[in-house]
Order: sequence, then structure tokens, then C-alpha cells
Amino acid sequence: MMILKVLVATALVAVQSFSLSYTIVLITAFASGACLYKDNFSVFRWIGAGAVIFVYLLISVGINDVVLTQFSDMFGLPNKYLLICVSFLVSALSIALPARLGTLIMQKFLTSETA
Amino acid sequence: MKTNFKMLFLLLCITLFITPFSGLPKLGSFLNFSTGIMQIRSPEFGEAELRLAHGSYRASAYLDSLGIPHIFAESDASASFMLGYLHARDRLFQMDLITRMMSANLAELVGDAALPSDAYWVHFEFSRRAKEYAEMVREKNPEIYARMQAYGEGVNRYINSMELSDLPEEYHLLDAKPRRWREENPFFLVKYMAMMLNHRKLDLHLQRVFNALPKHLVAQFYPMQEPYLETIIPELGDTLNRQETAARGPSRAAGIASTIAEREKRQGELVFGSNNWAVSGKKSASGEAILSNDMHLTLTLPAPWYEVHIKTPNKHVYGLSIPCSPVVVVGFNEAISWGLTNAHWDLVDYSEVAYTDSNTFLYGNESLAITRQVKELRLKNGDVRNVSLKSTEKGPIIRLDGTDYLVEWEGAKTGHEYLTFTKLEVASNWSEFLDALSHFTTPPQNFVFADTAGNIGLITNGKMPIKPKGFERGVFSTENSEARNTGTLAQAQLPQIYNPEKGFIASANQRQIYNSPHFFNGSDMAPPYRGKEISNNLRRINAATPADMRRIQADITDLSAADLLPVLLKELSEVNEFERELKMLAKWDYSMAKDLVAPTIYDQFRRSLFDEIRASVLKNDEIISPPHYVLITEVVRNDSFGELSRKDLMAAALNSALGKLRTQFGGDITTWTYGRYHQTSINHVLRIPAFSEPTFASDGSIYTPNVARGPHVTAGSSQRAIIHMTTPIRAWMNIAGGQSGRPSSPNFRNQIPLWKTVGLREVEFVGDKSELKKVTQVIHLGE
Repeated sequence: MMILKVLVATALVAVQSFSLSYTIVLITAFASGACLYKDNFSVFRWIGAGAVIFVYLLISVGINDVVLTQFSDMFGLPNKYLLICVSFLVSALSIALPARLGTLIMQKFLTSETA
Repeated sequence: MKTNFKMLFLLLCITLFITPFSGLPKLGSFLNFSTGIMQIRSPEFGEAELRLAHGSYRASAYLDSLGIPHIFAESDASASFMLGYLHARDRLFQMDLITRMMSANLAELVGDAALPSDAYWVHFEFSRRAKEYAEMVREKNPEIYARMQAYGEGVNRYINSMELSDLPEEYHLLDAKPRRWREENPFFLVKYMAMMLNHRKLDLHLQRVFNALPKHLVAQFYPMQEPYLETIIPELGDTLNRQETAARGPSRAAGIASTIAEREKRQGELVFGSNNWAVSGKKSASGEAILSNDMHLTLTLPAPWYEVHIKTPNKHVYGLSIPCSPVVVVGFNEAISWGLTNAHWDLVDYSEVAYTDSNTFLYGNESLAITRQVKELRLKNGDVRNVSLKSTEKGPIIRLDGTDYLVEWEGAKTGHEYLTFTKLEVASNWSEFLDALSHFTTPPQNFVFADTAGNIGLITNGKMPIKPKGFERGVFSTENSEARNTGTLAQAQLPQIYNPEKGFIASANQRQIYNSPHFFNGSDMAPPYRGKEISNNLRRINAATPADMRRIQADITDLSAADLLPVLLKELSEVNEFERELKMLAKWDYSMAKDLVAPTIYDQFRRSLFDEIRASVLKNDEIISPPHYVLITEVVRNDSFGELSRKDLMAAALNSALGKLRTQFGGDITTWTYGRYHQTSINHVLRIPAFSEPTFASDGSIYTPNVARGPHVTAGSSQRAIIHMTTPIRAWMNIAGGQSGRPSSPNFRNQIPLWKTVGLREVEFVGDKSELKKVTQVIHLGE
């Protein structure tokens, strides 16, 4: 089981790092949740996982300051770092929500099958 | 049950992330770190040296710190490939907008707001014509076709190699992807320029005037040809065959649209203006010719122009290209230089369709067939809207406000402008210059010329229909259409001059010649004030230098004040109410400088005067404004308008102007500086404030050589260039924006600070890459 967890975590980082489409991000997270259904991670634990990936990407890729300023202005945000926070939340939720859904569907499916 | 509820809730949250709401992108992908805006990188942050391989193309592009490429290529096709690659890298979204607009596909990218545009342009069937054009070029000019093909391959090479981080910001916002480039797409650029510079609804607007006003007012304020004080080529007869104002007969078109857009009423404020001039060797300090050009367009980000230097075994050219095409549009080679201003010829005819039955109509005495088809317009949400098209051999039939019009427009026809620009790149004298232009049809331009032998010239080139004697403007039935145009002029008959005695030639969108015996050339020409001020300056200079040319580009003298102000001062000199303002105006030198108060009062007064004439003399605000120069001239030469005296008219206008200024800036007149009143915005093409240049105070007016169409300026000099035809040639340029179309790029608007000061930087026109001094990035194409 530990190997599976490592594989899932690696897959998530890989998908996020290689800038694939958002649909693939959602599907991967969903599949991860389904694979780790026995661990029954809460949404908050998945957010934690998303946050780790986000920090990793932030450090490895960096942020274009001009982009940050322009888009903060566009959304009327008082501080450009608020945009990083919003992006952080969305990125983490993009993993947490489908992953938790995957877990729940798997549990529901297996429970129904057992019954 | 609890699990079901949780799952439903999670599903709902995910749906919120993947659904676009009220014009916003899908927030999940847009804000996600790995797929959204945080990934955006502009190409300047990429590798300092990049290697590409594509077929047999061989070229290298050396980009300087402003992002200007110097392309050294083994063939013209290789250079075109590299230019296509760079255009795509720097201006992909802009290219997509242009091609989508003219192929009636814009709503699919930007949404329903573009549907009216698509629904209009689809009638001209430019997509079909573009394919036909490419086919024609392939057969007749394989070398140009090879360049178009290579350019397209370059664009697609970039698109195919794009990572998410390369996707322009606008695509992230619109949740869209660029389309594959097609080799016929350069055709759309020609149509886009023709649309912008030549497509007017003047017939409709004038017919509305003819229907609304009594004959004497039409004759006075909407004459066939305005009296003119400075034509472009006065040598060809400034007073030749002056015709009296053409009085208008009874309306022949009853069904003119009842509505006119507020913007269209003020057409006089909307006319684009550009300047170009050349000084011959005998009038310059160096003995060599000097050419100057500043083209005025709507100021946008990205800028319309893309500066480029290309050297191949066949050519060595420097100038401004426009993304979408593989040619230099204005610039210079080792022998000649050329520049453009818009000719403002009236080439659009609207006629009410005289149907004989549902499939035919009368065109003169002839019965012509109508071909019907249904075209699909694609919307952003995937929906499709059907539009019924009626095509004829003369042009499309378009329904506007309930009336069917046949729209005959020279600009819609297929010309061969790319042959012109291909030949211009290698032309070496006036004769080859004219030969290149013989293929140019629309939009008609005043082409100015200078060469390294000290010669200068100018020709207004384009396809000019010959109007019959007694021609009248407005909307007619197609039964009268046959007589509207009686052929087109040969190039030799077009207005042109070579090496004029006075040693200079200048154009500023005014009428080319006063009154041609054989053609009518439009009625929305620019007032002659800019042209006159430029010519006055050039007459005064005996040993011209590039610095003199720059001073003329920066000239902010408004000569309309020289006409209007003496009349104002005379009429109201004894009115105590305006004493302070009039004293200020009396001391003023007509300089539209941003730190002065007088230009604020004058400009607002002029506008209020025009409004007063519309309200009190024409008594109609639902028609297009008379040409500005006519309005000013009529005020200068008449001391009354019916029962209204000029004094009362001027008092009312000044009173209204001062009232507006007090409301806007408060009662302290000393704070009404022109810079507070007259401000410039350079907006992003999607009008996104964060991608736009913040509004700033600016000098100039619609009538000054340093043009700034205010008071809320959104159009002006899109570029400036001075080319000194020495050996080697020295040239200075600048554009109102930057090389890159990527908002996050350091080169997106970094030329604006210099542009604001009317400054120029010297370009590097060198024959060998080793002589380049400012290279920051290199792209090699080939093994």
C-alpha cells in the first residue's frame, strides 16, 4: 500500500509539473482518490497534498511578476500576493475535490457490491 | 444518504470550477497553478539561443533588447518562415483576431459581442476569396506563393511547439486555443486594412442628410468638394475647374435607415490622419533625400506594427511589417524608401435593390441573378447561427435596418497587394516603384518616395473608379447603378509628382488635387490644416536635417485656430462676460501644449460651435456632422445664418464651452490646463484595463502634425520614422507600443515612453550580423 501511495503522489506531481490540461488534472486526482479509497483521506488532507505540490511548483517554476500584477489588477485584488493565495486554493481544491469524490464513489460502489 | 449528499456537493463544487460564468473564463483551469495564468512566460525569458529545424529553410534571427529581429536568411522563403515564426511568437492573438474578423469567425473566439461584425462581414465571402487568391498566386507568382507557404509553416511551427506557458494571456482569459494557420490568411490582412481605412457608410449618411435638410443647407454644409487651401499636389492645379456646389435633387431613396450611431454622427472627429513627406537632395543639408512618415491609427496594444530587418541574397530591407503577412509594408532598402498615408477615396456604393423577382434584380437596364446560400456563424458556446446570403456579380446584398442594399466596394475585390510589397522590397528607382504600385488596388494610399540619388516623389495609388459628369452622392436604386462608375483610371492618370521644383512633397490625408476633371475622390478627406502646417515648415527650411523632420513630427500648432480665432475675437471683443478668456486666447500662439489653458478653451469652443451649428442652423442632430473644414469656412465667411447672427452663434458656443469646462474642472480657470482636458489612452484590443497603458496627458489635436484626436484620445501616430537616404542609409523609428503582443512581456509597451516625447531611436541597418551591437537573443533555423 505504501508503494501505491508513493506512486499516486508521484503521478500527481508529474501531472501538475508537466502542464497538462485541467481535465487531466481532475481525472488524475479522481483516480488517486479512488486508488487510495481505503485510506479515506478527508478533503483537508487532500488539500494538504495539493499544497505540497503547489509549493514544489512555486519553488521550481517561479512566478512571473508582471503576470501577477496584471491579473491582480484585472480582478481588482488589493494585493498581488492575494492572487497567489487564490491560485493556491484553487490548485489545492482541484486535487482535493475530485480525489475525495473518487474515494466516496469507490467506497459507495464497493459497499453496494458487498451488500 | 449522507455519502450521496457529500458526493453531490463535491460534484457541484467541481462544476463551479469547470463552468464559465458571465464572460469569465473557467476559473478552475484559469487559476490552477499548473494549467492557468501562473504558467505564463513571455518568450524573452526563454533561452538566449534557440535552434530550430524545418525542411530546407536556413536563417538566423538576431533579436535586440527591444525584441526587434534582424533576419539573415539563405532565401526569401527562409526569411518568411522565420518572420512567420516570430510573428506567431510575439503576436499570435492579434493575428488570430484579424483573420477571424475578416473571415467572419470572431464570435467563436470572443463571444456574442462579435456577432454583428461576423453577420456583416460574412456577406463578402472573404474566406472563399482568400482561397481563390492563394490559388491565383500559386499559378501566377510561385515565388510569392512560396513565401506565403513558408510564412504559414513558420507560424504553425511555433503553434505546434507551444507549451502551455507559451499560450498568450488572452487565450487563457477566453478559454480558447489558436487555430492552425492557413497559407491564404495574409489575404485577410489586406481586407482588414481596407475595412479599417476605406469601408465607410458615407452614401447612407449623406442620403439621410439629403432627406432631412433643405437644399440650400445641403449645398452650404455638405458640398461635393470642400473649398481647399492646401492640396497634396498643388502643382497639378489647385484651382482647376472649380465646380460650384452640387445641389441635390429630390431623394431617390425613401427607405434610409432611421437610426445613426452616435459615433457615426461625429464622423469628422473619426477620420484617421497620417503624415508623410520627403525632402529632395537639393533641399537637405547633406545633399541626400530625407523621408518622414507617421501613420495615424487607433492606438492599440498590441501595436499594429512589427519592426523587422531582413537580409537575403535577393534583398536587404528594413521597416514595419504587420503580423499576418510576410512583407515589409513601409520602410526602405539599400536604394529607396517609401511611406504611406490614407487617401480617403470614396470607394463604397450603397444602392437600394430593385428586385424584379426573388432571384433577380435590375442593375441599370440589365437583369442580374442573385445567388442565395446559407452560411453558419459559430458562437463561443458551440451554437451555430445561420445567415442567409444574397450574392451577385456586383457585390453582396445586405439588409440594414429593414432595407436591402447592394454594396459595391472596390476594397472587397481581389487585388494583388503582396506583389506590390514584394516588388517594393527590391525596387531601386522611381520607375520600379511605380511598377510595384501598379498592382496595388485597395486601400488607396498616398505613397511617398525617396531614393539614394536624391530624388523624391509621390503618387496616390489605388483602383479609382471614374465618376460620370453630373455624378451625385447618396443612395440610388440599382436601376441607376450602371451609370455610377464608368471604368477605372490607369496608373498614369492618378495624382502623382516626381521631383517637384519646390524640393519637397507632403501629404496629410487632405484632398490630393482640388478638382479633377475626371473623377470624384471622396468627401471625407482630412481638413488641410495638418498638411498646410507641414508644408509651411518645409518651405521655411533650406538645409533640412533629420532633426528638422523630427521637429515637424512634434509640431503641435493648430492652424484651425488661425482661421477661427480672429473671428471669435472680433465678434465678442465687446462682450465683458468673456473678457478674461478672450484676453487669454488673444495672446495664444495656437500651440496645443498640455500645460497651457488657452488650447482647452479653444478646443472646447470649437466643439461647442459645431454643436451649436447643428442645433441652431441645421436644426437636426440625427445626421452626420458636416466636414469640419466646411463648418469653419462657413463661420469665417458668413456673418449670419438665417436669422441667427454669427455674433450670437459664437457667444452661445463660447458660453456653452465655458459652462462645460466649469462643470468638468471647477471655476478656477487657471487650473484648466490642456493636459487635464486632453488625455490619451492606448487600450488593449480587448479593452482590458490591466493590459492597457494608463491614461496620460498629451499635446496636440486632430489638426496638428503631432496628431492626437481628442479630447479622449484613442487614435494618433501609431509609428514614426525618419529615413535619411545617405550611404549607408541612416534611419530612426519608434512605435506606439512595443514589439511583443504578450502583455507580460517587457517589450509589450516599452516604446511608449519614447513615443510620448515624440522621440526616435536609430535603427541598425547593417549588412552583416557581426556589426549588430544590441543582440540579446538568437534563433537559428536549419541543421
